[in-house]
Amino acid sequence: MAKPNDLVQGTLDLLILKTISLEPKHGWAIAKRIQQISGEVLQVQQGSLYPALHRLEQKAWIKAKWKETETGRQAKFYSLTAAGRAQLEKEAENWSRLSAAINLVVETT
Amino acid sequence: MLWARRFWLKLRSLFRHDRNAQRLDDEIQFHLDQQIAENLSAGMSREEARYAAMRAFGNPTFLKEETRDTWGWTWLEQIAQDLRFGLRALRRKPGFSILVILALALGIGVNTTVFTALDATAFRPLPVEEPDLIVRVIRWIPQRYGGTLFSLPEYVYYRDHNDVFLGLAADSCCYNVVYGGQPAANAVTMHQSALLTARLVSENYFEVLGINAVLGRTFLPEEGQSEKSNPVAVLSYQFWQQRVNSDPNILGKSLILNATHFTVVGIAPRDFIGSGDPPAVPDVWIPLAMQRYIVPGSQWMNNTNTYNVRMVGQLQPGTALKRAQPVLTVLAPQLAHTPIAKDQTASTTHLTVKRASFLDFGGTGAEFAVSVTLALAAAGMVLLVACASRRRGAIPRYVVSSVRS
Repeated sequence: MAKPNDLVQGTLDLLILKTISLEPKHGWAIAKRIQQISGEVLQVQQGSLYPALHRLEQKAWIKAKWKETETGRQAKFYSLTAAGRAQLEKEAENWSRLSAAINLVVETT
Repeated sequence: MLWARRFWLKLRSLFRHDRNAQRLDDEIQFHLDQQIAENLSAGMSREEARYAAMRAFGNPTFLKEETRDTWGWTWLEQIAQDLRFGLRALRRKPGFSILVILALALGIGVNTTVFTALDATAFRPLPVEEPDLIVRVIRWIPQRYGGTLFSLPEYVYYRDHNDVFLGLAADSCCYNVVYGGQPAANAVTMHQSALLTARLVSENYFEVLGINAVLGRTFLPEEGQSEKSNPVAVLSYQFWQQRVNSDPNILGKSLILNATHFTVVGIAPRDFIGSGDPPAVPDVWIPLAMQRYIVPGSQWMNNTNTYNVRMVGQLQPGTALKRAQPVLTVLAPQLAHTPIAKDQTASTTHLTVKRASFLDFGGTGAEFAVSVTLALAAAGMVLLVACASRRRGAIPRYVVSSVRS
C-alpha cells in the first residue's frame, strides 16, 4: 500500500483540523463529516484517518479524550488545542492561496 | 511550550505502549462497529455490512502499524533491534570483531587526544586575568601581512604615544641560554646543568597581562630602564617545580645564565604558559633591558633593523577593538616622520589589533596551525578507516533486512 504523498497528507490534516474545530468528534464521525460536507466528492479511506489523527495528537495540535457516546459506548473524541487552532488558521490560509492561484491559472489559459 | 508538551506526549507513549496499542484496537473496533451499524440500517445483510465496513476502512493491520509509528519511539526500538543484531554478528565472528573494535578504539582515542591537546592550547584564550582586553598588534605593509614582530624602538614609540592601551607590553621569542658558571654561595642548584630557555619581556609585561607572581614579585618599572643594574629573573612554575624541586627559599638566590648572575625575584603562576605564539613555557623571563646578556652579540635597544619583539596591549576596560583601531592608524604614519622609521614603506604601514589567542597567524603560529591541522586530519583519517572497517562488518545486516522485508 502506498503512503499518501505530501499534498494528500497535508490536505488531510487540514480537513481533520477543520472538521473538529466546532466540536469534539470521534474518528468515524470525522470521516463521515468529511464525506458528507464535500458532497461525497472526497472519499477518505477511513482507516487512513488514524495515522493522521495520532500524528496530529503527538504534535499537540489536537487532544483526545475517551467519552461515552449517545449509544453508551466508549469512544475516543478529538478536539483542537490552542496550538491546533493556530495551525488550522495557517493551513487554511495556505490552502486558499494555493487553490486561488491554481484557479487563476486554470481559468486564464 | 509546544515542544515540552510534545516531549511529554512522547515520553508518556513510551511507558504506555501496550496500553495505547490496546486502546488503538478499541478505537478502530468502535469505528468498524459504527460503520457496520450504519450499513445494517441501510438494509445490508450482516455479512455484507461487515465486508463493506472493512472495505471502506482499509487494511487494519497495516494502518495500526502506521499509527503506532507516529508515537515516536520507533527509532528507539530500531536502535535496540540493531544493537541486538550487532551483538549477534560480533559473536559469530570474534576475530574480525576484535579487529574492528580495536580500529574504532584507536580512531576514537587518537581523535580525542588531538582534540584535547588542541583545546588545551590553541582554542584557549591567553591564560590571563581578562583575556578579552588583551590584544596583539599586527603590522600591515600595503596590501600584505607584515607580521607581528617590531623593533624595540618602534615598541617604545607606540608604548609612549597611544592613549587606548592601559599598557602596551613587549615580549621576545625564546632564547637558549647556558646555565652554569662559577658556583656561588647562594647559587641556585639544579640536578643537571643545561640549556635553559629565556624570554625577554618588557618590565610591564606581567602587569599588562594581569599576572601576579605566586611567590615573590614580577618586574619593577625601574628594571626596564637600564642594563646591568637589573639582573633579575622570574621563573616559570614548571621550571621551579621540576628543576629546583619547588625550593621555597629560592627568592634572592642567584641564577647564572650566560655567565651573568640573575637574582630570582619571583615565580609565575602554574597556569601561565606565556603569551607565546605558539604557546611554550620558557624556563625564565628576563627584562628586555638585559637583552645583551641573553642574546650576546646583538644590540636591540636603539636598533631599528632588528624585529624581535611582539606587542600585546591591554585595552582600557570598556574600549572596543574598533576604538583602538583609529588611534593606531594615526600613530603608524606619525612614526614614519621619526628617525625610527627605517624606509619609505613606513609611511604606508598600518597596524591592526586583534584579540590575542594562541592560534595567531603569521610567524611561528602559522607553522603551529599547520601542524595542528595536519595532526587533526591524520586523526580524522584513522577514524574514517575505522568506520569503513565497521561498515564492512555491517554488510550482512542489510542483506538480512532486505530479505526480511
